[in-house]
Amino acid sequence: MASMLALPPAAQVIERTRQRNALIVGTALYGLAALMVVVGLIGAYLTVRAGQVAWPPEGVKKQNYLGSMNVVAALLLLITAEWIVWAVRSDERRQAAQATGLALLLEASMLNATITAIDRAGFGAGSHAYGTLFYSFFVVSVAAILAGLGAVVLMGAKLIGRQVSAAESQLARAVSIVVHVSAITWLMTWCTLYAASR
Amino acid sequence: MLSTLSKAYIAYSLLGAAGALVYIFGTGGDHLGGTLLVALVVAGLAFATATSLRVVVDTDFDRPVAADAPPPALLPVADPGPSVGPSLFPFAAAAGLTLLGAGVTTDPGIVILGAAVMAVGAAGWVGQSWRDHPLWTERFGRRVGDRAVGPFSYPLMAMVLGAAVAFSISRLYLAIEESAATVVSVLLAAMVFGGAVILAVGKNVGRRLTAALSGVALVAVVGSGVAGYAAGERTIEAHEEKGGEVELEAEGIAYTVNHLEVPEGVVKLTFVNHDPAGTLHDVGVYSAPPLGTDPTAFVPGKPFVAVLPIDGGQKGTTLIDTTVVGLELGQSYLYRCDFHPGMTGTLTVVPAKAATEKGHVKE
Amino acid sequence: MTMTEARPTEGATPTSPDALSTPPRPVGDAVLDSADHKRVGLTFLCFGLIAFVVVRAVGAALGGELTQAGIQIVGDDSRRLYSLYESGLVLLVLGPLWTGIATYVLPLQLGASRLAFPRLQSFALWTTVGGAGLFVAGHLIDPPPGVGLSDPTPLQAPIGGVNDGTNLILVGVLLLAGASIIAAGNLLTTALTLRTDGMTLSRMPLFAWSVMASAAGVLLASPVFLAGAFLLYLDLHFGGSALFGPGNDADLVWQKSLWLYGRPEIFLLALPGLGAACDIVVTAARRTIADPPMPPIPAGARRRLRHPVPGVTTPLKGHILAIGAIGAFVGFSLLAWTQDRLSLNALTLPTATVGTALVVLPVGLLVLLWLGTLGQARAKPTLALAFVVAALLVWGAAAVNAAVAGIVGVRGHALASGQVELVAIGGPTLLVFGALHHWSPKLFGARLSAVAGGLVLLSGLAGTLALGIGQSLAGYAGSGAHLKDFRVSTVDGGIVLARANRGQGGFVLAQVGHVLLLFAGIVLILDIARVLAASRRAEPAAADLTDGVTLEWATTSPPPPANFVEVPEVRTEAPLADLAAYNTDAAKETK
Repeated sequence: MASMLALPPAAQVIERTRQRNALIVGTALYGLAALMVVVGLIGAYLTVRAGQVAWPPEGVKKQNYLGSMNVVAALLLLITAEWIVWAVRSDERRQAAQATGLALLLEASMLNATITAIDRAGFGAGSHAYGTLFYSFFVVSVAAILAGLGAVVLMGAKLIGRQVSAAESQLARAVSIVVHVSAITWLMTWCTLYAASR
Repeated sequence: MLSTLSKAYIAYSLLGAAGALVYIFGTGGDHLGGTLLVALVVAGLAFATATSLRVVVDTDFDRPVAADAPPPALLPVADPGPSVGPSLFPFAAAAGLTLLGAGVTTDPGIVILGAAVMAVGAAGWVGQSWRDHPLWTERFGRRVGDRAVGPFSYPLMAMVLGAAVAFSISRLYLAIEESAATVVSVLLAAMVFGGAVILAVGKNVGRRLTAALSGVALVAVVGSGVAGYAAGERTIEAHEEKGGEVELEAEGIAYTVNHLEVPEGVVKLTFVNHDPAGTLHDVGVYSAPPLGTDPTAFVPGKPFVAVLPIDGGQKGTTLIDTTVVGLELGQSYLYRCDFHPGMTGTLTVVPAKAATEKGHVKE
Repeated sequence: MTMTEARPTEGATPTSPDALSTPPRPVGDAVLDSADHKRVGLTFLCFGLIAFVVVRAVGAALGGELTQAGIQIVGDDSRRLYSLYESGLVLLVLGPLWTGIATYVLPLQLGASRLAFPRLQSFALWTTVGGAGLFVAGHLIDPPPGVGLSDPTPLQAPIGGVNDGTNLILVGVLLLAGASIIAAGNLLTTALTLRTDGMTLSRMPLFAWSVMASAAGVLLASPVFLAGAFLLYLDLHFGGSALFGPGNDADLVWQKSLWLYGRPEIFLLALPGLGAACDIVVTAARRTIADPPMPPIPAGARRRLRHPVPGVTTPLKGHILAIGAIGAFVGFSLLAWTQDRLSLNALTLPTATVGTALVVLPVGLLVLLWLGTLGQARAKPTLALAFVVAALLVWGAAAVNAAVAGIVGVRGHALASGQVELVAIGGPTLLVFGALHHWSPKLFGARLSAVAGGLVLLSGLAGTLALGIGQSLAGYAGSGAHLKDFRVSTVDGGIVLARANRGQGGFVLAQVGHVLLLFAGIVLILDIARVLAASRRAEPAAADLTDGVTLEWATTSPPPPANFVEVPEVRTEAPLADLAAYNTDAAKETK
């Protein structure tokens, strides 16, 4: 094996680790791109808000209850995602299944709350500039939550297939990144629309 | 997990964040400088993440070659993981996404179609990568299919199939003319019967033939259903409004109205008894007495219908279906109170449109 | 070269080029379901080249109307076709072409057997095709208001309400942006994780470096475009102009996120071209980028200098400098993007000038490095090198044009159109053609014809210059941009009712340019088709280690399904040169 002779042992480990990390690196990069969408919306929001006198416009009531509940769910999701990774790495299949189930429920609850909040907004996407921005934030959040749901379902399928284990835990980390992104997307939305308002 | 290098980058980012905050507040919100400092913070955090994930390590920039290293060799290609074979599912998912996009701007039906195609593509993609895993075996796949997928998917598929067939047939019937519907019904019946005959009588009816026949039948039904949906509904003839409302009052041991016109169909009869309490009245409908007979002395047979025995000062309502009780259109009948045979009147059943409001004769 | 290796010991087997020759013939995958990055990359290329011909034909039709009064080719549809033409050049032509070349060549250059996520690239390909279909369909169904994404002012809802066409265009744009993000993430992950043994980041070929930098830029910038497009879609779909109408500060949002020529991706289209040009130079010179001469500092101080890259013993290493220049190009282009409108006045604004000049600096540094490398190696000119020179000529012409415009003071907005054609479209297109010729043995199985390549080069260069300078001349004469057709003055009883458009000569020259570029595209497509058909029937050609110095030349033409049978070990930026040097030494030893 010429390769073994040519490289020092530490470098071999790094090469193999780097190749196995492709899934994690890729997911992290796509997660970064998804967060950049939210950053772009925040930039647009701040730009438009700077030019307005009344913000939000007349007749818009900000209801904080659903948003705050969603923040709690998002924070719980951040922890649950790490629990999934820990459980898989420690070969605790039962805990991994429990954590996956919990993450699924939390994502579903976030989806429910977000869609209800859109329903109860009281204005349309075309009513005013605030409406367009509001809806765009929420639709992006819903998309992120759906991606998180899909990732958790995939995690469940792979757990059933015994295709994740302590030796092959990259998928768990990748799934946790997607779940993190869905939670952070909501946190950024909430901070912009509710917490940082004038 | 955090290497020394990544800890250094995190410390640098925190310093940068503090500096950015100070700068932004100090200069009163200068955008460009603040943005640059925030960008530096983000870059530092990105480097910290990259180094902690071992994506970028010290030896990634340069790796000195020892002086006594062997000559450069030809190495076998590094194996990045399970082989990835061809798959139609990415194309399906992309096609579904495109249909979804087209449908959002044009027709909601295309949105549903696009979402369905995309779901099939995504599910197939996941399933294929699941099967491509080196740990997967046929036996294991069958076990999972039997225990986890089958119990959900078979009933679901059956429901979807049933719904698709029912929807298609209903759409088809809504689109074609009444006369054509008879032909279609005969054809459908013939299809089912013929299929059953083939299965029962045929000797070498294998799976393939059954599947082919079922497939053709399904495609025909669903296809015609889609065509029916696209063609739109035919105008359905409105059913004639039948029935109406009739009001009758009794006062002084007599009906206030002696001639009643009752519309054909379901009639809502309202009967008001204005006499004092203790005087009961009702409405009984009998065959008309022969011509010339005094109605008050006439003893009729069984009533067609006798309703609403109510006390004085009360009011009652009931529904009478003239066709059910046997009152024919255009005929006249006798109505009288069963408690006071002298209270009589004549009732005629008229077409629903001709009846005036509340059954009174139009002057 | 810093190769510290000992004399070969006795008994060591010399590495032989025969070990790399004649693997089994690759099985042809179908187009729709292939997960092979080579097939996906080739499909991207075919799509981009066909789009080039179609979009250039549209441009020629539009330009034809301006050559003379009374010519009507597209009639009243010219505004929507302008939108299709200008957006199409960026979104449908240059984007897919560079993505295709990168998809095909990057794993080969890294010594990898596949991309990080092979099926995801196929998904990105078909999403690109679908999005392009919706984008074009939207332009053909209903006229969009204005010139769409190539206008510095926001797209308003057309009179009569938002139509299906506008919605389809935006959905198409969303799909195209999403597909480019997916493809970029895939390429970046491949470059970060699937490099072969011994290939550190500093030993990566320069095209791979430029693909990494562009992919990082796309991952950061395209999502903002996506956000802006989504905002616009919501705005138009639900009544129109709540956000992008008058009264909001949405002009700035439009320009930073959606306006094609105000976004950093205009620069990112040139970036892979610079990387490809570096690789073309390196291959022609048969060595890595030469180190520039050290400034006159004492030897002791030189040793005590802390190098930015640990372990690099020579300061001012040419290869590292080139990497730095590529990175600086990205950084400065993002900075230049923070300037306000790319309007006519901006050409003379000092901030815009400084911003653009900063972008020019890394390019200038690269050109100096190339000249040094080619001079030292006494390289023979190749066709691909000629394309690089052509691109530099085009950019030089644009720089001269900008300087002249600043001095003279220009009234017509057609000048901005001409500059865009030269800088943002023309230069990168010539670099794409050069890259196609350079890597044609790997991409298509055999080298493209030199005669056809010369035709493509000459007509491409002449066409680009004619188009850009022609439109600029019209601008000097005071003409506006995006004209419907050429009007002559109408005079009625001594009163001028309508003033004629000026700059007819410039428009005629521009039309010549359009036709020449269309001709170049058709010749290129025919040549590629010929080579593809021939290589399908023939056996793959064995690898020739003297073809180049980077890893993609160490496999057959076209490569087998797993890309390589064996990969040379990488110890420097030019692994095949090391191998060749070792073989020469071994041959001398045995004599």
